[in-house]
Amino acid sequence: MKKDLLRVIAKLGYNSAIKAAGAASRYGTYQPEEPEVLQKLRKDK
Amino acid sequence: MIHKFAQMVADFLCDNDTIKEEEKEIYIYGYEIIISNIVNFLIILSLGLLLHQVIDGFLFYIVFVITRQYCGGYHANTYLKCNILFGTLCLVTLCFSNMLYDTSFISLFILFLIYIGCILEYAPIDNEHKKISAEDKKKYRKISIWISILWSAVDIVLFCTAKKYAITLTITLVIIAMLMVIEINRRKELLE
Repeated sequence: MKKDLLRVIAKLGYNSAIKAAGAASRYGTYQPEEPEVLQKLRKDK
Repeated sequence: MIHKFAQMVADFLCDNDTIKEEEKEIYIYGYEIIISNIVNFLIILSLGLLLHQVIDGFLFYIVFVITRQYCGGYHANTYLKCNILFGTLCLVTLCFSNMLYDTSFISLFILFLIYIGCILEYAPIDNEHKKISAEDKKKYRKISIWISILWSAVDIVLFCTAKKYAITLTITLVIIAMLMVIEINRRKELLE
């Protein structure tokens, strides 16, 4: 149960990062620095 | 604070072997986005409830978030400044939407044209922390234009059925345009 919950939380964070990557502005807030790893992941997709 | 909290969550997941150490950066980034979004949503909800304009608040939020995703514009350089700015812009929108209730269609149309002009001239504007590739810039520019066409249709329908929301929508778009102009001017000043 705990592992499943943690996996859901992890998936939320990951999906949020992937969706935010490359957007001009995500949710209109302060934009934290996008990790280079994420940019590479996005290019590979 | 938001960054630290995001880091705590990522550390907790890593300690429980849910994520790998080398992927932590991605998760921290994702959680920062989620947390800052929640904070902004709560700001909108609070202001909406305070001013009895919850629907206007949500309209502002939805239009702001969707449009800025592709057109970009000015961003403050800390979470706190961004949240304060976001709250202030929402407050201004809600106040003006009440004050301008008697606005004619022509006036709203002129305001809409200002927004369209900025989109055609400047969109998309990337962020120093999130550079957009040339390919994505072309794509986002097209999407920005299509979104503008969508908002124009929604604006016309709202003007005929629920005028107050048409005013809220238009003011939000003008604010987005202003933020684009502010960012462009800020960059010109930095270059000089």
